[in-house]
Amino acid sequence: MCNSETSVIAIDEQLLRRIDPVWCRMPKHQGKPLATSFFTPKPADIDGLSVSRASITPYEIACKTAKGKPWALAQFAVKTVLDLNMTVLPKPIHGGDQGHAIIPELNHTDLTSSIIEIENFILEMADAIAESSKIVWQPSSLPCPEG
Amino acid sequence: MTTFSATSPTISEASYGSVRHTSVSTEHILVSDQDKIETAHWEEAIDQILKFKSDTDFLDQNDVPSDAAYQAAIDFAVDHKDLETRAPSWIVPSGSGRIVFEWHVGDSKFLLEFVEEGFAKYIELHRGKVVNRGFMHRNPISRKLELKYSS
Repeated sequence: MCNSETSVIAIDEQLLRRIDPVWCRMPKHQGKPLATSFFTPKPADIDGLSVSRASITPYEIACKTAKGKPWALAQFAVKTVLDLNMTVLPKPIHGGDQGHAIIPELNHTDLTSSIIEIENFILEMADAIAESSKIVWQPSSLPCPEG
Repeated sequence: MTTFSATSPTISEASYGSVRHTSVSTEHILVSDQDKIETAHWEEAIDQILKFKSDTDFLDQNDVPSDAAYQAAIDFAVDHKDLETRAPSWIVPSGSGRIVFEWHVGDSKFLLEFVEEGFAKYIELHRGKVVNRGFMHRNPISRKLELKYSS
């Protein structure tokens, strides 16, 4: 359910994207850019890349997969998305994540359109987001040393 | 269309669209200049793939790679484990039954997405731009994956 707090996304907000937590514990990854593939749309991102708004969604909720498994969380700025000429739309989940939002330009339908230019665009945008992201939370069972 | 064997190190200058840069064969991409001892990292990579495969609760249903994609990824890893080649920086289930190996080398990133047994999509980004695309297929004679660039 939208309300006045969730219907407008501010430029200074931060966004969270769930990522596979396993590799972040490896020393060779410390301080390195995250995988571009973490930010390319998956089949569930049919209408846009699914993210959570850090100002609304607690890490403990944002990290949960559909099966309830805790994954790591990567954070990036709304400004990064806007600077790439893309948009962030609030899409609260009824009875669920009120801070849920999508980046509609990064949707799985377009990624699988077989149009090379569109696929390249999505990959390049995903790569730019990956470069600006950092891990801000991970399951306690998978300690991630400070990078 | 140019074919490169995955076992023949090749470097060539090429122009792709408006971007001109040094194009490299897959083998050159994978060879580590500084860290020749990658066997352990390949072992970790294989362990990780097997973990994905065995722990079905870890991934959401749509993200679970197909058995064929798993097999292609494992075959590739086993082929390269003992060749002093660079292990992938990341391994990511990319959805639709696929799994991606991702290498970060300097300003370049190389994505190899295993689609099915003996077939993978290849994408190279340089400074954030896609500069090469192609696919790899298993040569039925050499049993090695070979790369073909596509425009």
